[in-house]
Amino acid sequence: MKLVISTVSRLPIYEQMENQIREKILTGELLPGELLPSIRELARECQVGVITSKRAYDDLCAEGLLISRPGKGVYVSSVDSDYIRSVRLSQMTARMKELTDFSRSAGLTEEEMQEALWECWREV
Amino acid sequence: MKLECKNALVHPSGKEDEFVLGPINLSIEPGLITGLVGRNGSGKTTLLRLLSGRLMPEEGSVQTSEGRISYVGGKMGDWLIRKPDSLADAVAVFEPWFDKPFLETRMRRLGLQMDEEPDSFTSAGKKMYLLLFELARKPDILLLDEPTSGLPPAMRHEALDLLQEYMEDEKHSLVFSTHITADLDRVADRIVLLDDGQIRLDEEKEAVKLRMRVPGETLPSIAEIMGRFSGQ
Repeated sequence: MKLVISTVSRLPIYEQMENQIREKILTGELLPGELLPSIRELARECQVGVITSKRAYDDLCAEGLLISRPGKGVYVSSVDSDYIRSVRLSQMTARMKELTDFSRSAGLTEEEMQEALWECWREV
Repeated sequence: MKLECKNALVHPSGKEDEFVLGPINLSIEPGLITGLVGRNGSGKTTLLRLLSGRLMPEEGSVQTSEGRISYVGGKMGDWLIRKPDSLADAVAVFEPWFDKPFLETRMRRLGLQMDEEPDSFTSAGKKMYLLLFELARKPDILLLDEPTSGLPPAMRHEALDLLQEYMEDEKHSLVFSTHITADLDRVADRIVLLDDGQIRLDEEKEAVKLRMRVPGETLPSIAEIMGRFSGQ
């Protein structure tokens, strides 16, 4: 599996890998049920550390996009795109909760938070 | 295989009033690539020699479990007198697991001959030969002192791929020192930073990069992280 990794990035290497594997799944380049390289094979192919490639797989497993079968390998999961979307939505909500909690405790207003959110959204 | 330094301390020159390494506390974890970084004279080579058993600690201990440790670095002298072919046969007498076919194929791929004096190899060729020879001895732990420095880009790539191939076995451990940290930015799992004989940092690579990141900027390289520790 060829992934493009940059060491000059704002994103950690595992996040770059996650984004590219996710894209390959969502565009159908990787098909449900497909067996992926092992953690160590992936590390070698992408010339990254083992902890890094493991983290990428672990995160995508947690997201429901990949399934790890102990002793067999890591597969592309066969969940449909609605399910993936709903998992992401709940992940996003959990992060938002962290942010709103922080904003409240820091004495920031709802308006300030919305404004900051819009700024971040437009920045990318 | 286990390899652990506990409060290990040594004067590599043997003189009390000269450079001292330690006390060092360090445990080498199986399955991981540990990058050993630090400026010239910070004690990288001394630490590798201590881990390899070539230096004995004056205080503290270096503990190992059953297994094989290989060390590549330092002077090549004796290695270059015998032809690879006969040296391999000699080693195989004591180490029957020695993988001569591996050595042969990999050397051929690099254009190195088994029946030629290694002294006639280019300096990059010599370096690759020593690395391949140690890999053929199938170590559980491989300690490398500056394995990629002085190699042209294509060979450097080849060397890194060899090391990652070695690491496909999750029981293997690799510690490699380098002052060219760009290789470690990609392949290292863990960074150990030495300064003046002391470990200043010992942390998972991605974690330390995130921890030391400046908001809005790209993640710091290992070279930048080193710079911050030495106050440059």
